[in-house]
Amino acid sequence: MLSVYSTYVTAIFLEGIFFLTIGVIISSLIDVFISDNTISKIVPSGRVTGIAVSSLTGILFPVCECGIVPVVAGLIKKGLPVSHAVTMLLSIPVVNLVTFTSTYYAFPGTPVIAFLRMAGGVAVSFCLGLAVSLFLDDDSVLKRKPEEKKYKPVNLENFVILDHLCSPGCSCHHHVETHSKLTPAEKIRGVLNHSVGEFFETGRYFIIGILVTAAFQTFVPKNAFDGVSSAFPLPELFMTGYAYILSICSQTDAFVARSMSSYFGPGALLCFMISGAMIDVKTTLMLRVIFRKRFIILLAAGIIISTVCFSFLAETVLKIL
Amino acid sequence: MKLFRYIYMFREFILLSLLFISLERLVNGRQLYSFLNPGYHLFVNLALVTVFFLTGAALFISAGREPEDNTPREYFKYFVFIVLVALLNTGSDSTAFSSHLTAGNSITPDVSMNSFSAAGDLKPGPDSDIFNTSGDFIEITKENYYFIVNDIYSAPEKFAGKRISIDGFVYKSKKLKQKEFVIARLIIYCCAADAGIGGLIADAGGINDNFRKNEWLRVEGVLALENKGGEKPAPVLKLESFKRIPADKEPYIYPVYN
Repeated sequence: MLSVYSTYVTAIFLEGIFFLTIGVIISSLIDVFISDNTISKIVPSGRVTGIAVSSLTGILFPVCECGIVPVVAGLIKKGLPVSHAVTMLLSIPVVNLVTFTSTYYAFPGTPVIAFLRMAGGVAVSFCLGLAVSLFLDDDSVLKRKPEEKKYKPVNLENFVILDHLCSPGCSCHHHVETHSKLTPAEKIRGVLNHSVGEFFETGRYFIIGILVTAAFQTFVPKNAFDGVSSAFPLPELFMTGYAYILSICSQTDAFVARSMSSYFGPGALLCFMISGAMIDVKTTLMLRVIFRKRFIILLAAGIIISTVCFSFLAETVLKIL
Repeated sequence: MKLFRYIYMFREFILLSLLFISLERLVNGRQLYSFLNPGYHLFVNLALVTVFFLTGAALFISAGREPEDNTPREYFKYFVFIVLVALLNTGSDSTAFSSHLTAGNSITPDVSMNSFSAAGDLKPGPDSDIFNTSGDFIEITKENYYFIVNDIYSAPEKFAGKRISIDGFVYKSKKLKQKEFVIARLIIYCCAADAGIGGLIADAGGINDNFRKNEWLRVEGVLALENKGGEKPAPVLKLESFKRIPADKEPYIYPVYN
C-alpha cells in the first residue's frame, strides 16, 4: 500500500514540480523588476473589456495550474485587479494552446469538443471574474489586505538585510516604493529571497494537495462510483467531483476524459475538463496562499454551478447540430 | 540546543537540498519511467535546474542570517516537505502498482476496449519494419505497441483476419464473456496518476487452459470482429497459442503525441 501511495505522490510531484518552481521564480522577477504602474498601464481600463482580455491571456501564456498561482499572486501585488486575477487563474489552465491541442487529439472524430472546452473556459472564467468585480471587494477576497500596509514608512534597511520571506499580499509594499533606489545586487538579493519564501509558502499547499489526492487514488475503490444515474445534472456533478479528486494536469486530462466517453455524455466530459482544470484538491489548497477560505469555497461553488450550466447548454447545442 | 538553532537557521537550504538529492536520485536511477511518460522527462530535468537554483538561493539567504533567531519556530510548516522527501525515496514497485490498478482499487478509469484510440492522430511511426502492418503477421512489441493497438481500434476492419502476436497480463472484466479477457498493459499518458489499463480483448475459447488474472502471457491469434455493443464491431483476438512469460519489469506503455 505504501509503495502504491508513494508512486502516486512521486508521479504527481514530478509532473508539477517544474511548473511550480518556474512559477515561483517568475513571480519573484515580477515582484522585484516590475513596478506597479506597468500592470495598470497594460490592463484595459473598462471592467468588461479587462475581464474579457484576462480570460484570453492563456493564449499568449500557456502556464498550467501549478505555475499560475504564484505568478498571479505576484501580479495581484503589483496592482492587478482581483476580478482580473480570478479570471486569469481560472482561464489560463483551460484556454491555452497546449490544452487545446491535447483535447483535440484526445477526441479525434469530434474536434467540436476541444472548441467547446475553450469556449467553456472563457465563459466560466469571464462570468466568475465579472461576478467578483460586481459583488465582492478586495477585502473579502484577498487573504491579507495590502492596503493597510501601504502607507507604512519605508524601511529600506529592513529590506536589504531581509530575513523576511514574502508571501502574496504581505506587507512587501516597501519593495515597490524602494525599487528605483535599489542597486542591482539588492535586486538579485530580493529575487532570491522572494523565490525561496514563495516556494515554501506555495509549495506547502502544493504538497498537501498531492498527499490528499494520492490518498484518494490509493484508498477509494473504483466501484464506489458504479451506477451513476444518467439524469441531468447527476453525471455532470459526478464528473466535476471526480475531476476535483483526481487533480490531473489540464494538459492531459482530456485523455482520461476520453477514456470515460463510453459511460458519459459530452456534457459530463466537458464538466470534467473545464472544472477539473480550474479547481481541484491541489489548486484549492494552493489558492489559500492568495485568497480567504470563504472566498475559495464561494469560488468552487461558482465554478461548479457555471460549468454545469455551460455543459448543459453545450450538450443542447450538440443535440440540435 | 545549539545544533537545532543552526538547523533552523539553514532550514530552507536543508529541505531544498534533500529535495534536490531526491530528484537527482530519481533521474539518475532511471526510475522516472515508473512515474512519468518519457515525453515529460524534459520537465523533470528542467526542475533539477530550478530546484538547484532555489537551493543556492536558500543557502545564500541562510548564510546571511544570524544563528540566533527570535522568530517563532514553525516546525510544522516544514513538516510536509519532510514527508514528501521520505515518500520520494520510497521508490515504486510496478507489480504492486499494476495489481492495485487491476484489482479495481483505483478510481482511475480503464483505458481499455473501444476507448483505447484515445490519442487519435498520432505521430506516424518511424519508417521501420516494426511499424509495418501490411503483412499478414504482426508482432506487437513495446516499441510499436501504442501505434498498432491504436490503429487496430481506429480501423479494426483493416486488421481483421490478420495473425497477431502480443504480450501482456491477463485482465478479467465483468463486461467480458467467461473465456474472454484483456491481454493488457498499463498506459501512462502523462504520469502514474492517470495510468489506466489498455489492450486487446482476447478470446481463449479455443484453448483448454485457465488463465489466472495478472499472469503474463505471450499470445498469438487471429483478429476477428465481434459486436460488443459499441457503435461499430470491436476487434477480438481469437487465441490459437500462448506461452507464459515472466512479468515485464517495466509494464508501462507511453503514448507518444505531439
